[in-house]
Amino acid sequence: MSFALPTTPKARHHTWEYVTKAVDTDPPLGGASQRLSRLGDRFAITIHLMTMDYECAMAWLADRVKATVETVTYPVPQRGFDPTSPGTILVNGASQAGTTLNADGVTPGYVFRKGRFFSFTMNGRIYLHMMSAEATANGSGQVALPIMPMLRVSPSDNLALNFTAPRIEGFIEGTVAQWEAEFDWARGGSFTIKEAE
Amino acid sequence: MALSAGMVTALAAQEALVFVAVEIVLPGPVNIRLLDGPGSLTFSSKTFTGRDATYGVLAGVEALREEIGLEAPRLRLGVNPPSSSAVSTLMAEANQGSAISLWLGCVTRSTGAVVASPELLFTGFYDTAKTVAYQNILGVEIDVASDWERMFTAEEGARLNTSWHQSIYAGELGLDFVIDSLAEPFWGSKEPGETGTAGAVVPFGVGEIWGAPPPPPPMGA
Repeated sequence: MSFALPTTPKARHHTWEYVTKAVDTDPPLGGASQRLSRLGDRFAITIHLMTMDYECAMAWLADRVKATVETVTYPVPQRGFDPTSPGTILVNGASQAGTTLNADGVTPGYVFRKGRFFSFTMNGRIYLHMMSAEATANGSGQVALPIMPMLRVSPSDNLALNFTAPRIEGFIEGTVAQWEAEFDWARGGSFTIKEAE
Repeated sequence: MALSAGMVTALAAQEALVFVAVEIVLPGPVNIRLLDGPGSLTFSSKTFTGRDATYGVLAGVEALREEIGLEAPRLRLGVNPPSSSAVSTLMAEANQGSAISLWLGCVTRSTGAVVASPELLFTGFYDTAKTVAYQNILGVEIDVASDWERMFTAEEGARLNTSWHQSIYAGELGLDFVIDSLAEPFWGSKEPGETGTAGAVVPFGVGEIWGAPPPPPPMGA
């Protein structure tokens, strides 16, 4: 089960993290190093809340408690970027894997910006990805999207891709919910949502 | 066996995307095929996933090393099952002798395809298992004996569990609740059970599989 975190009052700011299990072999004698990467790269975002009226904070505080047993979803902040809908974008073909995702249903000629986020829901879980390079839809509305991280699950054919309001889903790290409350204000502090898979 | 040309090339690259795959074939047969990370990979007509809906995820694999063997090589691996029924299935006595294999492979990141052919690092059989429960860990730790041990087994098929024992000595309860009776045949010049000296096993602690040291015992314990 997952639920959506509040969107108001807005967070003061966010910190992004790209989580990998890669290690660098670094020979102590100065030889060339090598990076050994593992499967399962994914995103994490830290939400820094403002100090707010206690009444405004109540929904946040309740959800912080609820999030100790459920995953949460949160809209990916892309402030300053207008994620207009370039059509009804669907996965084009089953059994896809790797760092290219074929899609269709795009407005012909539409250009996907490098760095743009999108998400899709597969088997009840949201997976977040980012465009790793610019891509342009062809005249038939088809496009090969270069993405990071590599697909962790193969989306089914015609699955909807959410480019207009992508979300991240995961547990809030740590099993303790903590906040400060004094007089008529509360400070929810910072917490991190890390994709579970 | 030599590494395939594809594996040699992949492992020589500046960045290599590697994975570990484990197959556990329990009686039934129940095929549990797990990867060490999220995703799904297919090779040798077998599909491995990062999370099995029934049996959970691979928590860890004991470090392997290759050297001249003076004792039988063994392997320990951990599984995080999502339910008590999965724990029960993984711990069943009838699992003793079940085939377990472990591969190391590489993935081509751009296509998500497995580089031919993953290296079969270990093949053995389920020896014993125990549950591991600490503050932030719930798992099943499976002790795997090498297939080579079969060469030293005078009585193939004999098991060290209470069901087998009572099938011969009905009512004899000496092996009731015994979970750690390893099959340890003599191998070369070393006594069985001395880890870290030879074979495939290196000194082993809980942290090596489960990722974190066990918490200290409760006060007053």
